[in-house]
Amino acid sequence: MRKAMVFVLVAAAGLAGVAPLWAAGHTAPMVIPAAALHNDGENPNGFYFDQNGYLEGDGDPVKMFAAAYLPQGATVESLTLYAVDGTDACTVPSVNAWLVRVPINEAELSQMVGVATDGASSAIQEPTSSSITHGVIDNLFYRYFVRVDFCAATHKVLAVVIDYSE
Amino acid sequence: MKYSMQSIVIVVCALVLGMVGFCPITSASEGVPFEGGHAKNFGGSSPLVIPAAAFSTKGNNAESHNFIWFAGFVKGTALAGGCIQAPVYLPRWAQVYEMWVSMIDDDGSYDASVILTRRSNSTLGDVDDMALASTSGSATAVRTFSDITVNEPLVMLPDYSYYVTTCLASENLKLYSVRLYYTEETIFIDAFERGDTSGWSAVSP
Repeated sequence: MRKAMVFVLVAAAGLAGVAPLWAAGHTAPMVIPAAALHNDGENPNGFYFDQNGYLEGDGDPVKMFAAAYLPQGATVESLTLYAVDGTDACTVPSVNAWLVRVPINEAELSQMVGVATDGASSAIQEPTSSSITHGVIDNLFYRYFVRVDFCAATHKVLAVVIDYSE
Repeated sequence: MKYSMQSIVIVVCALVLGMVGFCPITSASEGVPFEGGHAKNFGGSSPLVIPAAAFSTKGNNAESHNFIWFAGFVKGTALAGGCIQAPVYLPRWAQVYEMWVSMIDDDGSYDASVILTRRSNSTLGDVDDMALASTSGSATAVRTFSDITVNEPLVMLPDYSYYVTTCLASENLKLYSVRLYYTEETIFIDAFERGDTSGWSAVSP
């Protein structure tokens, strides 16, 4: 009986020892597609979601937002914007993206990292930054989201990618 | 001494059985790859349920759809169009194998199609429709529609973005949810069988 108990206990230990191998979850990087971005309500028809999966402007500045659901304790390593900046001739000349955090009970936003396209081109630009402020995710005290600004019909926003480590 | 040796044998056998016999990763049934040929199902969080609340306007006709918040569905309006989209957050290296849609199609003139799409983040025009489920006929009840043949099922991040779209051409078309079923890749990617060796270094350490 005693041997059987030892057997069961040690077998359970063996199972526990390998359990992390089959635990699910490797989701970094977080790719926030253009389809996730919502308008702030000031210009609800000032953008267009193209059937090819990107957002473009209509000539006036527009601000779009998406929630960033990052794991507790993760460390943000970089922010990358995938966008086409077809013109500088608009009130907002570049396509801009930021990752921001706000205390859950306050309205004092702080920018963790920001990137922007550079110069007019018909090619996709991938501005990236790994200069992160307050990079460790603290979901107990902060909320996180992404903001993207653009303007012209030749500004095309494809995705914002947040790379992080756990 | 004899007793100690016996104990050691028991402990070792138990550890082996615990790791091999009881653990799903090494069981015979889990070792059988699914139809895609190179992924194992570790359970994970499949299915991914995309509620109607995740959909938003495509922008140029913001009042062409209406989210019924007290019932949790989105429907078209008299302002025909109603094209909406939602992001799809799948785990890296997941394998999508089915898409299911719950909708009411009580419209004798229009049907609706829900499309799962992936789009390259670095190449314009590199767009693939992965799955498509269309309504048909006309009925007042919620019905389910599916596509169990998924094109380009491997979730490649950050190379691609994933999203679903649909157009609700009338008030009689109501979307309740989209559900994506997927398996997750094993930790040990058999890159050679899959043919994608990009994860392997070209330089010996």
